[in-house]
Amino acid sequence: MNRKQLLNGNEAIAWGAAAAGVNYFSHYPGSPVNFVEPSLKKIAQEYHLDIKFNDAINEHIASLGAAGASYCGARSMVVMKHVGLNIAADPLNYIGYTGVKGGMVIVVGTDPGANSSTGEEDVHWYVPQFNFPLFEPTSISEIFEFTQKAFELSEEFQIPVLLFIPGRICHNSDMISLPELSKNDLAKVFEFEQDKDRYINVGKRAVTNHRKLVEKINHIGSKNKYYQNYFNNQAKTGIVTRGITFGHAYESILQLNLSEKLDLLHAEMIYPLGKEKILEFSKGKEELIFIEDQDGFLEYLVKMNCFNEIEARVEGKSVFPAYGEITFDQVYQFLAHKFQINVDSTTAPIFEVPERLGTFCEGCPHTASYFAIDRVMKPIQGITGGDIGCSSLPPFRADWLLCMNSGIGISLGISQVSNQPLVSTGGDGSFFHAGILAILNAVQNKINIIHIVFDNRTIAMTGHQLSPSTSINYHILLKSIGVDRVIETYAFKSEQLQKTIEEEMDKDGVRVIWVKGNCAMMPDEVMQERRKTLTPKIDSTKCADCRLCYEKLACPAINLNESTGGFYIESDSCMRCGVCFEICPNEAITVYKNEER
Amino acid sequence: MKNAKNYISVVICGTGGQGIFTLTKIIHALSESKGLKCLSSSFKGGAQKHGSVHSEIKIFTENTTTYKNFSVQLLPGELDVILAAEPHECLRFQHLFHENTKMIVNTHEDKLFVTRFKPEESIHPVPLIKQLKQKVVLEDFNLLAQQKHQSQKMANYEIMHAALENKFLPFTKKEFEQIFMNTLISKI
Repeated sequence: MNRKQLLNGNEAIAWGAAAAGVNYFSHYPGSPVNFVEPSLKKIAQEYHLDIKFNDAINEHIASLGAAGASYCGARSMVVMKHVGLNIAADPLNYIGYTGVKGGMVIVVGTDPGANSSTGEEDVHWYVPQFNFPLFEPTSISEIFEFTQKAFELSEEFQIPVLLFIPGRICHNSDMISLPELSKNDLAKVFEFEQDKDRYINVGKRAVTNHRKLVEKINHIGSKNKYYQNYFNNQAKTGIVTRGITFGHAYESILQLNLSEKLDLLHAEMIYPLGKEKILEFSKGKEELIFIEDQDGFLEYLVKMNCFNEIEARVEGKSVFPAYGEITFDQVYQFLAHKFQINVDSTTAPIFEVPERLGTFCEGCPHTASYFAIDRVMKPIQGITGGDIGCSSLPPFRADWLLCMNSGIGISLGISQVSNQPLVSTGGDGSFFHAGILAILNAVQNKINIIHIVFDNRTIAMTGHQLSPSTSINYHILLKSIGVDRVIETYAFKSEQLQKTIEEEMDKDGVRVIWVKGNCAMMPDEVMQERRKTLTPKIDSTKCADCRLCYEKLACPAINLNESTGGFYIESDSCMRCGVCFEICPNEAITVYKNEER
Repeated sequence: MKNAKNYISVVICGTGGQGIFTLTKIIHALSESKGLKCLSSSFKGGAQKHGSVHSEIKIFTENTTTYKNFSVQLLPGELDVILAAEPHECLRFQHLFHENTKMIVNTHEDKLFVTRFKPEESIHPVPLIKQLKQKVVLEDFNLLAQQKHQSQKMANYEIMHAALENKFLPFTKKEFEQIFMNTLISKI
C-alpha cells in the first residue's frame, strides 16, 4: 500500500533507485547530490534491501565500479556533482561503446549560479560526446518517476542513462506517494560474461562499437516522445523549456494571462532530440523562444538537427544570459515586456546587505592551521596554495580557489618556475581523491614542495562522509611513494605547526606536513569533555586590543561588544579548542572550570 | 497587475544551524495535515555554519492540481509572510516585500563575518527594519527561547508561535504543537 512522505530531491533519487530495484550504488559526494547515499542507505536498512555501496575515492573510480556491476547484470547507479563529470568523463566516453547489461543510471547534480561550487560549467556538452540519453526532471515527483524510467530505458537499450538535476530542484521538497518496497531479488546471480567484441575496444572494433552506439542513440531519438505541451497549441509564439525554467515559464504565463497567446513545450528527455516532436511543435509558429539555464544546449540541438526545417524565428541565448540562474522574475519580466503588459519592475533594495561569505565553524582545526600558515607566509610574502572543501572557507585565506587538488597541482608548476616561498594545502578528502598522485608526481619529477594536508578525519563539506585517513597509515603510504619527509602535527597546537613550517622552508625535497585535528562538528573526546567542564573568558583588564584572536585567528566565537568596545567569547558556540588561549600574547584569556564560575 | 494568486508565499530565512529546514518541513507537514498542497525550495551555501540559509514556500490555498508546475521561486513584490531567524537575512529579501508583507523577525544577530575585516560594511539591521512600512513583529527570540526553554535552539519554535499567534499562516498553534513534537521525536 502506498504512503505519503515528504521528500527532497536527494531522497527522491534514492527512493527512485530503490523502487527500481537498484543493486549497486557508487558515488563521490558533492553538493547538491551529497545526500543521495545516506538516504539510500537508510532505505536499504529499513527495507532490508541488498544493495552494494561503494564510497569511491573519486568519480572516475565510482563510474567504473558502477559499470562493472552493470556488466554483471546488476542495476547500478553512480552519483556525482557537475564538476565530477570532468573526472568521470574518461571512462564514461567508453562505457557507451561497451554498452551495459543491468541498467546503469548516472545522476549529476548541476549548479547554475554556483551556489555551492567554484563554478557553474555547463556539463550538457558532454552528453553528445558520451551519446547517452539525458532526462532533466523538474519536480520531486518527476525525479522519482524518471529515475525509474531511466533504469528501464537503460536496460532496454543497454546504454547508460543520465539524469541532470540542478541544485534548486535537489533542494525542493514535496509530498510523494511511495510504494512499499519488497526485498530485492537476492537469488539473482550477477555474473560477468566474457565478450571480447564488446569489451576490448581498440582500432576497428572500437569504430564498430562506436557506430553501434550512434545507431542506438539515433533510434532512441526517433522514439523520443518525452515532451509535455501546455496552453494554446495554435499560438504563434512557442516557448521551449528544459529543467527549472519550466516552472518559471508556466507560472509567468498564468500570472500574465498569456495562456491563449502562448504554446509551451517542456522537454523532459533532452537528448537525443525528439526531432519529430520539435518539428510538430514548431509548425505554424512564427517564433520559438528557448528559456534554459546556461549555454543553451537545447537551442543548439534544435538548430543543429532541424536546420532549414523550422520556419519560425528562433531565440534563446540572444535574450537570456548564459551565466547565473535564470530566475522566475527574469522570465516574468521578459514575457511581460514582450506582450507589452504593464507590471511592476524590479526595484533595488532600500538597504544593502553584504554577502555572508563562508567562514570556519567555531573550533574548526583549519582556523588554527591557517593562523600558523599566515604567521609564516605573510611576513615573507609567501604563496599559499588553496584547495576546495571546508579548508577554502573563508575564501580569502589561500591564494587561489579552483577545483580539487588545485592546491598541490598549481603549486607544483609554480615551484618549478619560481623561487618564491610557497606551501600548498588541501584536505584529506582531496588527498585521497587525487592529491596522492600529485605528490607521487612531485617525487618522480624531483620537485621541491611543502604540502600541508588538513586531516579532520572526514569529508566535511559534503556531509561528513568517512575519510580514508581514519583507516590508512598515511605515513607508510607517503614514505613508500618516496616522500622525503612526513611530519605529523596537531592543528590545535598552532605554534607547533608554525615552527614545523618554518623549519621545513629551509629544506629541499617533497615534504608533507600532516595536520591532525577533528572537525568541529565531530569533536574528539578531549574536546567534548572540555566543553562540558570548562568556560573560557576574556579578561578585559588584560586584553590589549591587539585583535589577534578576532582578526588574525578570526574565531567566530570571539565577538566584539560594540557598546563596550571589548571582546568576548560566545560561550554557547565556543568549542573549547584552546587555540585562543595559546596564542594570546597578553594572557587575557582565562579558562574556568564550570563549578568555579 | 498580477493575477490573483492561489497560494500564500512564505520565506523562512536565517543562518546555518537555526533550524530553517526543520521549520520548512513542519510547514509541509502542517499543509499536508490540512489537505493543502505545498511547494518549497531551500537554499544553503557551502559553509556548515553561519552561512545564509532560506526556504521559499508556496502554500496553495485552493485545490491546485497543477501546483507541481509552478515556479519554486517568488516574484519581487509578492511575498506574503517572512519568518526571519536573523535580521540581516530578513533584509536580503526586501525586493520580495509588498506593503502588506507580514514579518516576524528575530532581533538576535549573527554578525556578518566579513565586517570584522571591513567594519565599514557593517550595518545595524534592526533599526533599518523598523523603518520599513510593513507590519513587523520584532523580538529577541533567542532570549525568549532561553528564558522559556533553557535553549536558544528553540528560537525557531518561538518564531513560528509568533506567526501563528498573529494569524500570519493558515494553521493553529495546536496543529503546530502536534507536528513539532512529532518532528522532534523523529529526530531522536
